[in-house]
Amino acid sequence: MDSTFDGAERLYRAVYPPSHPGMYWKKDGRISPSAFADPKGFSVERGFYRKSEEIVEKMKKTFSGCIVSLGVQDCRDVKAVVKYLPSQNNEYHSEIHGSDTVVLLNKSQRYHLAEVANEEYMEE
Amino acid sequence: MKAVKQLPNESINKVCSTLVRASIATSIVVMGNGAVSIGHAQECLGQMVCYHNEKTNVYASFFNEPSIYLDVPGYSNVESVNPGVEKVVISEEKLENLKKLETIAQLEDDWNANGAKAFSGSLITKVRNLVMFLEIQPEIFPTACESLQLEYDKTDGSHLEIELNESENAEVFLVDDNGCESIISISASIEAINKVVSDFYG
Repeated sequence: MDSTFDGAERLYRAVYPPSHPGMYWKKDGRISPSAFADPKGFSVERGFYRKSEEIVEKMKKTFSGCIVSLGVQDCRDVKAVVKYLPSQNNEYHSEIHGSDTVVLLNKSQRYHLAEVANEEYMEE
Repeated sequence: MKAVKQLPNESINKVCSTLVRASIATSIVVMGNGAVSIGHAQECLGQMVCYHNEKTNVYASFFNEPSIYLDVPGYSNVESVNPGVEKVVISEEKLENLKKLETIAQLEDDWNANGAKAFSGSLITKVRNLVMFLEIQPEIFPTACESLQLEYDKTDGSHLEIELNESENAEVFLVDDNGCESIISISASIEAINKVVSDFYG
């Protein structure tokens, strides 16, 4: 696993705060673009060809709440940059940035990514 | 008039009315737990709703007991709170938004596990005041950028975001029904925001 991302690879995001899983969900069932605003880097778990169920189960061990996914190609379509940034605790850790030089996704990027995000898990 | 759930007095500015001696209506602007000022008095028969400077005054006839309550509760979910005091109507949407703001206000530092700060009381108050006077209610969401976002969506696919922070301006992001996007900065006043929302809905 290296810093190369296949366009078909999916990225999984734990939506905070876990105490309020529905915080970012609109009445029409879509997620708000505001969930994609993080000036310190929008953290995701790269799928790297693992099965969705496996990834969600792994994430649920450390996080309760809501998990969404989107594709690497979805990010490229809005000119966002996916960066592989493994950490000591998580070899799959990555981030989605607005560009190579700007961390924060801009409003247009957030809007379009929210449109294509899939709900993978919602705690009841 | 419809009673709604009790909310903390100190968190909401409210306008209530009471009637003195059955024929005189007095508007009282209540801030927190006590009366701050008493407005003009006029003869009033029956029930009348007046709007003045974004405050809604309800004038109604009550019985003869002379009473101006200085400690008027806010919104109540019981049918009768204090005799002679009329209740203020609040829509379900507005109530949901006020509840959500209270939830957002309770988020602590690092609520997103990535260093996001808790929201300031002044920002919460600003948005709460907007919610009280917005003609069309938004959906409200927090961001990790120390801002709150008001969102509107229409069935034709158009989308409106109004991002509010501590500054006196608000950033507006608009996507029209053709997918064309625009971003502008406006004053964070209720008038300016109501106008943007009104223009959005045509």
